[in-house]
Amino acid sequence: MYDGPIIDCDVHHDWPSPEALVPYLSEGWREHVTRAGGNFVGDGSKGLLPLTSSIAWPNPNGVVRDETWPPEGGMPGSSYELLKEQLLDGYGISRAMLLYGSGMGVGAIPSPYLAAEVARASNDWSIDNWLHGRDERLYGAILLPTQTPEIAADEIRRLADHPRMVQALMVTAGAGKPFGHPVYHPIYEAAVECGMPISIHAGGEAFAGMNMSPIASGTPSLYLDYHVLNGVQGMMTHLVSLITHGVFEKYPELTVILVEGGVAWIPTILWRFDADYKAVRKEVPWLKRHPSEYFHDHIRVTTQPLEISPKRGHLIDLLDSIGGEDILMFSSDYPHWDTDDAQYIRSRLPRSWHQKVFHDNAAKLFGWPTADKLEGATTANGKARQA
Amino acid sequence: MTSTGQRSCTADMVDIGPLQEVPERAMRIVNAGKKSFGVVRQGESVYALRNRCPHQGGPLCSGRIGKRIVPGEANVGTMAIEERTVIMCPWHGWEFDVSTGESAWADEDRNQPRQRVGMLPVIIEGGRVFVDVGR
Repeated sequence: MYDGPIIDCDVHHDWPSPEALVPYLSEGWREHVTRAGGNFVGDGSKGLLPLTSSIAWPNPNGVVRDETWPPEGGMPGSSYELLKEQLLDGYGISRAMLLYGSGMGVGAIPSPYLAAEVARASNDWSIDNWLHGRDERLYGAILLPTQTPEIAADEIRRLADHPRMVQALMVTAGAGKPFGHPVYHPIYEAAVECGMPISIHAGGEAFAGMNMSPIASGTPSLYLDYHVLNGVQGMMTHLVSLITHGVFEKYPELTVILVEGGVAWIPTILWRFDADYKAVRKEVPWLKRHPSEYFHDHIRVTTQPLEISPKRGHLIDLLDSIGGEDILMFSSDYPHWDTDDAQYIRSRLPRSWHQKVFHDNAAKLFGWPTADKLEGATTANGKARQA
Repeated sequence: MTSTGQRSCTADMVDIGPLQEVPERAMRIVNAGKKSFGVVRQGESVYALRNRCPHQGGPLCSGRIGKRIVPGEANVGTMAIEERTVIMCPWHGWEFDVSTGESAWADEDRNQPRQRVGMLPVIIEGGRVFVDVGR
């Protein structure tokens, strides 16, 4: 069983409370968001807090694991000590990508001006509180206000030189179009210019404020409807859009990571996509290769929530058909309720894939040493691993 | 393919008629025994394609003909045409270069057998077009 280093590509850190973000706002925005009465937000916050909206379909059990609530108070994911104990040390995570918790809703803020300010403030807060050297295992993503792609591109350029900011993060399609649409291309131009991959985190369509259905064919009634469909359908749309709009022809150095959108649907969509491409190639003559080829060269996919097939081999066969060994990257989704346990994921994937999926695929993408080149790497059971 | 010369016609040669009467913007479908094929003229050359799409066996030669669309100079989001003429199968829209039988999409796939339409030899002799159905 694989006991090498693990890179976790989806960890949700959070501020203890919405007030923690206020000092990072400009004076004007601080005055604006705090000098107001209550807004029926239910948590007793005053003014326009919380600044980011929440998922409109609440999980009946709660969206976070019970034991991740910090004993000192604050949101799950807001305590470094607890995250260190439960995730970094507990799973032997050698590097963790911090992709925000409450901050993920920034792309759904109706005001594009407030969204840009909240994104900037969130990134500064993340650097001050998590990426300032307190733990060498922590890495960050530049949260983007997708409502205003030019401003988002500027935010990438503003922070790309920070040694701990290694990618940029898009969640909600703030401009109201799937992420391949040309309106977003300034973001990809900046990402390539700065040598950064983009992560697209699933679920962005479900934040209150978007005024769109998070699933196709109508609004979900239940959390179960929402959760089964949303991450998958939304990610399908973004994936197809990125390829048809020629994003990877225009930015051949770009890599996009699909985070928390599931994986088992990808082969069948790519089969369908390749077939349809042959039929209507003349609509997208800028595509020089089959969609599945762009996928293989430009897309990486995080594992959680890994679909569990009735027979283990069914899922492996599907993933093998798209070169899953080379495109999958482990993610836990800590501290959310549907966290994937690293040990469990090991048991579901072929042993020969483990080093790539748990470590090397991400290491190559981010320019880090592969597992066999690491000295004394931390292992899954907490012991030092000899290279 | 088209060749010209003094080659004598055999029993397998189908006389298509005068060169200038072979259409340029549509396929003329010819049924010769069990063989069905389409002929199309491109200037002084004539090409004969099997009337069977390599995809699912659709009646390829009844499809529309046009220039292959390619991206313009700015690539993504732009369109231009190139000289190559393609025929589009009416069943699923697969396109093939009428002069080579190659599929119109990604270069890497053009030589895969199921993505290339069969071509019949064409001879132009004395201003008339003949297609060799013996192969």
